[in-house]
Amino acid sequence: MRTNRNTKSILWIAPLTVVFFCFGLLLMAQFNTAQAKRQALENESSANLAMIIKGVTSNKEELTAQLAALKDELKESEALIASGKSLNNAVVNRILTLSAVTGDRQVTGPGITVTITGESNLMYYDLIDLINELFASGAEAIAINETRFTTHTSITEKAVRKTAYDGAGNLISEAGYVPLINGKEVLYPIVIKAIGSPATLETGLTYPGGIIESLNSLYMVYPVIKQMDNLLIPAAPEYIYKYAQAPATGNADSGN
Amino acid sequence: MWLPLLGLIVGLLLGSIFTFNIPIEYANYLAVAVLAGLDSLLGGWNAIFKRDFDGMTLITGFFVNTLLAAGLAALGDMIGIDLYLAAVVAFGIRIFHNISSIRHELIALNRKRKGKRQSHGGIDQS
Repeated sequence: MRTNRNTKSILWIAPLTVVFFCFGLLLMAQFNTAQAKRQALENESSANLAMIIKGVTSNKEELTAQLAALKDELKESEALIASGKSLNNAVVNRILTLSAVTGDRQVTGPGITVTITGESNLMYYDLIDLINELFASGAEAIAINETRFTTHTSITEKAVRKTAYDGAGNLISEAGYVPLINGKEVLYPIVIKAIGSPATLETGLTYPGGIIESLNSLYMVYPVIKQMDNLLIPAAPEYIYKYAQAPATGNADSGN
Repeated sequence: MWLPLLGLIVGLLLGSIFTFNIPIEYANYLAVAVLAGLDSLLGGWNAIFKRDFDGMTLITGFFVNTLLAAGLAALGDMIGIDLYLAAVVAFGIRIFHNISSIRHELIALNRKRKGKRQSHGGIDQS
C-alpha cells in the first residue's frame, strides 16, 4: 500500500520538478531580456538620452585627443625606424664589401685575365709576384684557375721529374718544379683573373721594367693579358678560425 | 512538494548564472512563452488537487504551449497583427482561473482536514 503511494508521488513530482526547473530557466531568461530591454536606448527618456549624448560626446573628444597624440607617437616611431633602416642598410653594405674582400662571396666586375701556357718556365714565386703586382695595381679580387686568392691562400711548389724530347728526338728526363695553390698542383694553362680597372691593371703589369718585361726577358715566360668587361670570380671555401677570436667588446686597442 | 520548488530554485539560479540573453526584438515572444509556461504549470498543479494529474500531459503541454505561444506571437508580428496581446489576454484569464481553482481546492482541503479533526475529537469526547 505504502509502495503504491510512493510510486504515485514520483509520478507527479518528477514531471512537475522538470517543468518547474524549465520554467525557472525561462523566467530568468525573460528577466535578463527585460533588463536588457530596459537598458536599451530606445526606451530611454529624452532627458536621459540628452545626458547620454553629452557623456558620449565628451568621451569622443577625449578619445580624439588621445588618437592625435598616438598618431604623433606613431610618426616619431616611424621616423626612428626609418633611421634604423638606413643604419641597417649601411651595415649590410659593409658586410657585403667585407665578404667580397675576404672571399666569402663570389664577385663580378671588369678586369683582366692573365693566361700562362704550359710551355713557360713559371716558378711559384713568379705567380706570387704577379699577384702582388695585381693587388698593387688596384685589383679587388683575384682567382688563379678559379681558386679565389684570399689571405689564407698558399702558393708553394713541389719538385717533379719532367720528361721531354730534345731536338734530336731523344727522350730526356729532368728535375723540375710545379707551383701548388693550397697544396694542389696548378694545371696549365694558368688563368689569373683579376677584377679592377682593366687598363690600370694591365698597365701595372706591362709598364717598362715591370714584371711582364722581367718574365719575358729573364725567364722566357710570356703571359697573355686580356681586358674583360665582366669577370666572375668564385667564392673561397669557408675558412674556420680555430684560434683567432674577435674581442666581444670590439675594442681594437685591447691587445696593446 | 519541496522537490518541484527546489527545481524552480535551481532553474532560477542556473538562469542567473548562465545568463541567457535573447535579442531584445524577441522579448515579446519570450514573455508570451513565459505566460504559457506559467499557465501549464498552474494547470498541472490544479490537476494534482483534482486527482486528474498526468505527467506526460504536463510536460508536453508545457513545451508545446510555450513554443506555440511564442510562434503565434511571431506569426502575428509577421502578418501585422498583435497576436501576442491576444495570447496575453487568453493566458492571463487561464492563469487566474487556475489560481482560483487551486485556491478553492486548498480551501476545500483545509475544511476537510478541520472536519476530520473535529469528528475525531467528538469520538474521543463521547
